[in-house]
Amino acid sequence: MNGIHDVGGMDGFALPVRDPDEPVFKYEWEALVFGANAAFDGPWPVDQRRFAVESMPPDQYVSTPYFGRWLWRLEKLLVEDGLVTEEELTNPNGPMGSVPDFQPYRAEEIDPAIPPRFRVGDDVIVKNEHPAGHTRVPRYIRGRRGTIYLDHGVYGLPDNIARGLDPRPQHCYAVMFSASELWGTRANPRDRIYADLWDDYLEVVP
Amino acid sequence: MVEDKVSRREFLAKTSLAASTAVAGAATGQVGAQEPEEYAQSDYSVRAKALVSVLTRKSLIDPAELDEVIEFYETRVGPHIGASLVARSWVDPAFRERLLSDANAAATELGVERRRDLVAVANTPQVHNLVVCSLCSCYPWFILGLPPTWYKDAGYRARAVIDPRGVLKEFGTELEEVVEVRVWDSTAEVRYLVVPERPQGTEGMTEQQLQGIVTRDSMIGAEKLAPPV
Repeated sequence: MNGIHDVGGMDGFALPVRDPDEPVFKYEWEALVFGANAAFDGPWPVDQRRFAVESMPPDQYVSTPYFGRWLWRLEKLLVEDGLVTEEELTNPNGPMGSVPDFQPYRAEEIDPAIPPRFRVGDDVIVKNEHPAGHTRVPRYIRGRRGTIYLDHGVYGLPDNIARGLDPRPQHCYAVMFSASELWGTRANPRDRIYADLWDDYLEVVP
Repeated sequence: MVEDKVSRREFLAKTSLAASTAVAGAATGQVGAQEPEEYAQSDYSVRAKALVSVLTRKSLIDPAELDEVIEFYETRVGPHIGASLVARSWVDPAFRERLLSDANAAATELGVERRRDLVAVANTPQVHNLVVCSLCSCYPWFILGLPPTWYKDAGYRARAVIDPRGVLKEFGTELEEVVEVRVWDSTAEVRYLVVPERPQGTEGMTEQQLQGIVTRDSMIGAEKLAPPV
């Protein structure tokens, strides 16, 4: 989706300060949110979890700290699937309803022998698609021309996995773009940007 | 660590009570006297405690497992693992070649428990690599631990892809015009490790000493390593 999460290339944000002595979790609640996410063996693949955060209203996304988004996401997914109710979260000492049956998510076996559509060195164009659902193609490279730089092997397609569809396993590549191709004269023409992209995201240069 | 663990168990034991008290406080406006930042933190804290309490009461999580996973990421996984790969690559040219051509095999060789596919890219006097996840926060947890706040921040994610030289300059590293910058946007399930240049003045150091000078941020490409003082 063309969501607020897709910030690559936006101007106006302040650059954060690096703190080499920062604790892993600044607040106890951050540890609890992280731990709850990790300890609950839920029915959602990572791409569905990512899509949940992407669906956060833009104004809320920018004003919510990182683990606050994780907290919002877990509450949302649990309530949507009926595993937990809003009443239970509001009154955690009150009565608890029963938990409906669910299957913890397990990725399907991937066949590593699926052949690639492209070879290292091939020129490709990123499809200019704007799906309303989850995708891993940032807006700033859509429609742009690049070169296959590395073949990472076979992975399920995030767009499908997030929707609970056939994962359509296929090759994923590091695709190299010249900075000028993406950013015009603002870029230093020496520089390169690489993004990891699946076969379905790419088309042959006509 | 033992003390931390005990305090977290106590914290969890008090979770339900604390959550209900805080919710009641919010309802009667008692929390309103706090500063805005504290207020926000207390809101997240109330919700996080309520969530853990509900998941525990409904047997959807095991509190001991929650403890374990927090402790694992707080104490056992961290940049020291990535640093062991980098230091080995500095003292063993054959290992460096293996790391750069097949980082998965090289990491396994050093006993790293690999949870994702890994690619290692080397900084040289001619090339500087920088890693980002413009869409979320993908990061090589299994060799660097959880990502720092700055890496997850929209400001870094937005600017790293369009103005890496400006970002690096504000971070304290000014690159010469002739250096090629390579930005790796982690948009899939592969994770990237930057192998920083070995600083001058480290010729006499042991592999273990070298591990100690490799910083987390240098393995993301956000800084160069300075010669040891």
